[in-house]
Amino acid sequence: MNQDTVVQLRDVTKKIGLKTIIHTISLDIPRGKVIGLLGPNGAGKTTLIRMMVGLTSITGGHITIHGANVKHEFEKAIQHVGAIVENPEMYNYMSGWKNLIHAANMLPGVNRKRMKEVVALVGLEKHIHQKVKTYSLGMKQRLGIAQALLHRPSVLILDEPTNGLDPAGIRELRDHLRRLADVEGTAVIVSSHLLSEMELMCDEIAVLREGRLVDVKSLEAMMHTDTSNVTVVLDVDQPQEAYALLTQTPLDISCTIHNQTLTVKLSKEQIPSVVFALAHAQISIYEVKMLTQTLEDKFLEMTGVH
Amino acid sequence: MYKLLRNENMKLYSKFGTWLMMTLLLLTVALIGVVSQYDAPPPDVSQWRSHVERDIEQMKAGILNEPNPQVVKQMENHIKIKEYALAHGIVPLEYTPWSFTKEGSSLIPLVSLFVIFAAGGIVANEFAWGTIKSLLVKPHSRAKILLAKYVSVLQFALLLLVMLFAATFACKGLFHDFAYWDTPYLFTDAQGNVQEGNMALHLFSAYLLNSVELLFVATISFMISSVFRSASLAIGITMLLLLLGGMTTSLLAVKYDWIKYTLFANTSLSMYMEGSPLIEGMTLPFSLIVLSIYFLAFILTTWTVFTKRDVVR
Repeated sequence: MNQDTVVQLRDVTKKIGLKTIIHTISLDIPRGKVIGLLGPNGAGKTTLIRMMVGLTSITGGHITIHGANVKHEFEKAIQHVGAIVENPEMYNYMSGWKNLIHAANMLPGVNRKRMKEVVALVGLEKHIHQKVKTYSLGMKQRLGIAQALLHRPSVLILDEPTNGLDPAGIRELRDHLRRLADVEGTAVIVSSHLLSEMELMCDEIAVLREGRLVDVKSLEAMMHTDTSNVTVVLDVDQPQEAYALLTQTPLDISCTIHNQTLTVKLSKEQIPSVVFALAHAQISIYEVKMLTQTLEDKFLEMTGVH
Repeated sequence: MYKLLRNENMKLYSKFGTWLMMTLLLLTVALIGVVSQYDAPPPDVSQWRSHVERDIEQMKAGILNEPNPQVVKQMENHIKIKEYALAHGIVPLEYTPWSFTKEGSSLIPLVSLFVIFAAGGIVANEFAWGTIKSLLVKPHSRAKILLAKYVSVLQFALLLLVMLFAATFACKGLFHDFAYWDTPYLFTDAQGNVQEGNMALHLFSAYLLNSVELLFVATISFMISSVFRSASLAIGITMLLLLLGGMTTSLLAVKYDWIKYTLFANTSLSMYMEGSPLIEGMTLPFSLIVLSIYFLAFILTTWTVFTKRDVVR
């Protein structure tokens, strides 16, 4: 086990009746990293998270947090964890402050000073003594995060944390998680079915599909495009001539023609020579557009949703 | 554990409904107290000596015709107590505000009803509100969390009983300038000597003895709340049991002997003090054993379901 690994999943399996919901997932989560669990609805993200925090029993395999087994040493394992599972649910008839007291009473080493600190951190000073039923969803989310951070957990687990947040709220949350990971070395685990959020938030993305771990990739690796094989769309005034020119030697490029536009498959290095050849043959070029596979396409490809 | 209990109490007493129930209980006591004061005023206390003397006369006459030696013994003890009261100038309970406190125990079913409400919501609401998730992902075992909730329900029940007790005393006390608050409780010990005891202590023990049913409906409501995660189901079923349980049991007890193994046949422990068990042959130890078995079964069911359950959407 790596020194830095905080949360370790080994062959984790969940069965409900005869149905297997999670198939032998193994995953190491290091300190100071933001890890995204990504997958379409029903892929098992929430189930996996619920198993990590002991809300759901583990059928096979084991999960350890700082070496303590979640199943057998629950209290020891979970004391390092701050978690929000699904929406941050509060006692609406009590003030935000009382909700915080409720959480603080159940956590080790939280005093009044720390509570005020956390309230300031999420910017709720003004509203903390109002009843939670007067809060907006964003304020509840912030209170939820304040609660989860009270005991300075070294693992923060957030299930669909951006649900119901406005763009400003999402940005705030993102910056916040980044700071926690970079400055305090917190291991952050977030789940989402929205890739665009993950892109901006996470260092690594674990892709789930039908209860299986498809791939774990760093974001750079996912963003990286293969330059030896790209697709370019050409808009020219004489497509037929251009087609003839490109498919012949010396260029010899595979090329299709559709609705007066040419679609060309080639390596990135070849693009200037193609443009030069066309210009040299007096063909007017209106547009040269490279079709890159977006992260979204890759995600859909990996999760098999097409 | 103490902090878990504090949390449960904070949640319970932050609710409007909890305060409403406490207020309703006090209002009920006040209403009955005031109405009874004018409707059926207490007997004239200045006449108590002559009344007690008349009672003694009647009992002495009664003993002569009483064949049962046990009843004779009881009556002799009663006479001793009354003579002691006359000799020491102790006004009997029925002439003092304490009599209302004693009658107050007939309001315990109302307390039961309120406790059913509290117990029915205490686990189920956490599921309904979704707060169960944040409650269970804290470093405390589920068993401890459940225990804190149960203890908090029992504390609420005890609080209501104390309120009922204090309110009945205060209500009639106001009408009588709190006279006779120090009236002792008279009883005969094993040697047949009259002893003085503390009246408040004696009456409150009587409240507790009458609260066995309260304990069980609270436990049942708590169990249904945990098992089915529905407050309305817990409150509905338990209220039905509270309303019909005792009545059905005593109706069936006339015909069927097996009724003695049912819960509600055993909850009125005071029937042994009065010497009239529901079914011939039932004894106090028998009832205590039956009650313990039911109690264990309810608690085990609650505990097993709550600690093993997967918390899903």
